[in-house]
Amino acid sequence: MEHVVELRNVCKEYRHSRKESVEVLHNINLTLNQGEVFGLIGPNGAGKTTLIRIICGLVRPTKGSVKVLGSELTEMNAQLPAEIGVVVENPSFIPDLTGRENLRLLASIRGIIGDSEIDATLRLVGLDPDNKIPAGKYSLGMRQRLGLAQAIMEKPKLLLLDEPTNGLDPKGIIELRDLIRQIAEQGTAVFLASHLLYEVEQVCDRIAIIKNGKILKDVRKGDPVPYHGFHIQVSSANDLLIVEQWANKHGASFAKGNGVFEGKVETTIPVPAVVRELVEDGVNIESIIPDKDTLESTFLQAIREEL
Amino acid sequence: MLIRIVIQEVKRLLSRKRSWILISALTAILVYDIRVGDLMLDIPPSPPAAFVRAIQDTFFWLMPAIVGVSVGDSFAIDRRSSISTFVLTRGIKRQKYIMAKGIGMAISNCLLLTVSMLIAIITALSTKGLSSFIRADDLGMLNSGDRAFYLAHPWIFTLLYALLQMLASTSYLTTLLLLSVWVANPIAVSIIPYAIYIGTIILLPETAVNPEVYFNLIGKNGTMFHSFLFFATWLVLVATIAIVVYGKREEV
Repeated sequence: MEHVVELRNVCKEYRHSRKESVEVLHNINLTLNQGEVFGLIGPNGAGKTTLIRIICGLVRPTKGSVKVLGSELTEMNAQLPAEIGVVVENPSFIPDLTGRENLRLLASIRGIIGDSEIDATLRLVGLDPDNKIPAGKYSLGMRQRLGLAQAIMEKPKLLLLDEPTNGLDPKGIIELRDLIRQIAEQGTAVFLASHLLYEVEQVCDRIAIIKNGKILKDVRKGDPVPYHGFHIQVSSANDLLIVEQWANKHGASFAKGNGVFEGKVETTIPVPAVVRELVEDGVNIESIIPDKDTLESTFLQAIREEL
Repeated sequence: MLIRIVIQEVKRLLSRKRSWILISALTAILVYDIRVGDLMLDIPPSPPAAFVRAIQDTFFWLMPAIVGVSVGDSFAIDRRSSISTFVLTRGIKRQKYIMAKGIGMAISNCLLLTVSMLIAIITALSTKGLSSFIRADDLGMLNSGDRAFYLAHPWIFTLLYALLQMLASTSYLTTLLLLSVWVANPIAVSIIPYAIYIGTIILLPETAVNPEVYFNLIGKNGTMFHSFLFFATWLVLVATIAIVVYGKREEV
């Protein structure tokens, strides 16, 4: 199957002077398939926006190959594929036109949708098609919603989202998450760049961590998650003593926690087996939480390794 | 796709309130020049002379400001907002996009100027009773070729002169388009070239680079044809540079 996006050894350098240049992207390799939601996470200035702008043909890479929906964008005079929807960071529109007029102007370029689709899309993103306020007076949240509307109104095959939750209220964030999933289920490939770990983790099938223009890690949802042990809380000091003895017996390390009758055990023995044995030993377990890698810990570890 | 963008551009620019306010102001100045200014002359001019005089008095200094603020900042606005990104990701080539913008801006500009000049001509026609005398000298420094042509066919001369103003303003507009390739600030795009333009007129009077010479046909040797040639060359050259540069930019 042909990938919707295929980047091979993509580098981007910005020259400040004849001698001085800064590399903002370094040997980026990635693919994105139909119906997949791909998350790119990284701190501010990591290269996320540049990468999105390269994928939609607005920035030419210094080196490497960029293939999007079958078109090689690195060729001069390349025709950009028409079926891309983009939400840029902090989108803005023609200030003296209303939201609907802005969308009509953009929709007229391809001429494949009419007013009814535009109005339906505006309602879908939570905007009123009859709102006569010019887009220049929209709040950031409204502009974000309008940006999303222009990106999805023509049902693109590739949707690129750069910090799409900026300015959205909690309800808007939840609605956006549901909308992204719906769009992906219809076969659209979604590329989401964000610095919000939780948002990316909630919605993406695959996540890459980027820092200083390098992809440090590529994690797929469903990949086995490294397990390091568990945190346990029991009912009495005697129970905690039994847990410590159990840990010693299995060669696991035990450390008392800060809370009442709490402890942390580092082991590779799975939690169900631990629970079974401790209950058999007469321990009253209040709670037991497996100590697994989260996106946050993976992110922090990758960032630390890079340093 | 190109035509659709052109149509949208024209609709958008003609729906701007400020375009109509500025064009109304220009028209008011032209009408004032014809109805009030000409009455102060010893021998008030005939209708075509009244129209050409009014344009000569007004256009060379006012037109670039009006063109810049009413339609000239359109590409800079697109670039400053996210509109150019949204347009380009709909599958149009950069070169076609900037070309469509240029054509749309030029058509809008010519339509706005047509309205203004039509009102000025109608006003000039209403001065018919003042004098039938054709004051070629009052038109300033008309060269001999143009002078003879004007005396023989005053209305054809007037029509061509009006077209020359449109060509000149479109050439100026193209310069703003080229500047917008680098500068995405609409205010800077509207004002900086105007300041340079006025500076050129003041600092380099009656030289080959002074646009007033070509606007008002004040060259001793040149004719209206030379003015057409000057502005057409400017238009084609600057438009080509804008298209090529925008197409080749690493980042848009």
